[in-house]
Amino acid sequence: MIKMACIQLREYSGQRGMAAFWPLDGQGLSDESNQLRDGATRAFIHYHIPMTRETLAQKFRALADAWQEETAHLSSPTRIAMHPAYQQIIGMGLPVIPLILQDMSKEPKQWFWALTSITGINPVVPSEQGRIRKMVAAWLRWGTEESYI
Amino acid sequence: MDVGKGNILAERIIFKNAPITEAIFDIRADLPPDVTLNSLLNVYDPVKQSYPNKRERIYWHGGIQFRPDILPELQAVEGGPDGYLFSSADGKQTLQARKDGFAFNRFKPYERWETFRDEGMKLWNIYASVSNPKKVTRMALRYINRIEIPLPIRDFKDYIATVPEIAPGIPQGLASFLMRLEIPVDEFQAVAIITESMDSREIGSVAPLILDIDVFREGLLDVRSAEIRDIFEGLHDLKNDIFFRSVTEKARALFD
Repeated sequence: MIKMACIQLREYSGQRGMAAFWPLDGQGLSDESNQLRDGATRAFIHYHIPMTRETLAQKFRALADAWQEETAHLSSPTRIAMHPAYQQIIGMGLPVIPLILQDMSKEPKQWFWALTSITGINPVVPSEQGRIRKMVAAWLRWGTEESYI
Repeated sequence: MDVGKGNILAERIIFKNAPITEAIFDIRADLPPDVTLNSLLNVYDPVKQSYPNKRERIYWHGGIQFRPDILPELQAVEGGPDGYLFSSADGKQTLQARKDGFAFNRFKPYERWETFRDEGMKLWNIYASVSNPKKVTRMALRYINRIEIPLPIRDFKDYIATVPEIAPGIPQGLASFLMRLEIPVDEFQAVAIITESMDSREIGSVAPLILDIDVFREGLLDVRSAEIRDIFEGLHDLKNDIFFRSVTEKARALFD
């Protein structure tokens, strides 16, 4: 059984779980056909809920949730960090640092690559590399010192 | 019926590494009201040797109501099974037998038009003999191409003639785009829908550009009309014309 027209739009504007049902056009079945349909759906949603109306926190939350959900089964730190949502968070630059630190303070996650990419520094001493809780503590300490928290 | 050749450049070049990822031969038809989903299953018997994998096709249609100051509301969702898909054992070909018509999908590697057309016509005749359509209402050919452009790209126009233009002075980098052009082609009494997209999520050493050429013609035709084949020939020439005028020599070199 093939479900032809249900597209989850969890990444948009924090509207998690919202679904759009898009009539199939052109009878395409390939990945490329689906990609075009997704692009059209994104345009449709953007028309109604422009990304520019999103707050930084909403955008971060949506991307962070997508990243966590879609990398939960991965063990490779490189693949986890190369996830498109993670890369988009890096692309958001310094304004996103308080949100990352806040998220990390609630639950240790692999935010180190993003933090170093954005800030250009690494406050974790070599002896603590690989020890997640200590790395988190080092970043939170740095965040406090730099007034990000 | 004049299918029109005019200035159409009906090139018949067969590339070794054709960029076609999916070709669709689609005919919409009015079926008699007594044709049910069950009766469409009769298409399976004559094709099951070549298309042994049978699946139900489910079609959902609905929407979301957006209004100021009110949370979006999901509108009534309608749908259910509307036909069957019969696929070849290697997954390279699928026949769609629906209550609104028929489609034949060929996935990569696409070989040649003549083979694709003949299989499409053969399957259409089987579908028509089972469903006994009253009239053909629409005929379409759709070719989805995936063109992997090597990075770095100096200018998309080095590969594709029709691309989004960004005004000078604005940063010229594109993270992604989706462009859809709907072009009436009077000569063929047809419409061409050209959709282009590039998805940055898939960028590695190449930028995958999707070039989707969907050409169709609407009208009422007799189901057994010989014109159907002629119209498809015309639509194929039109599709080729659009494709070959859209890609540059540099792009063609990628397909050899």
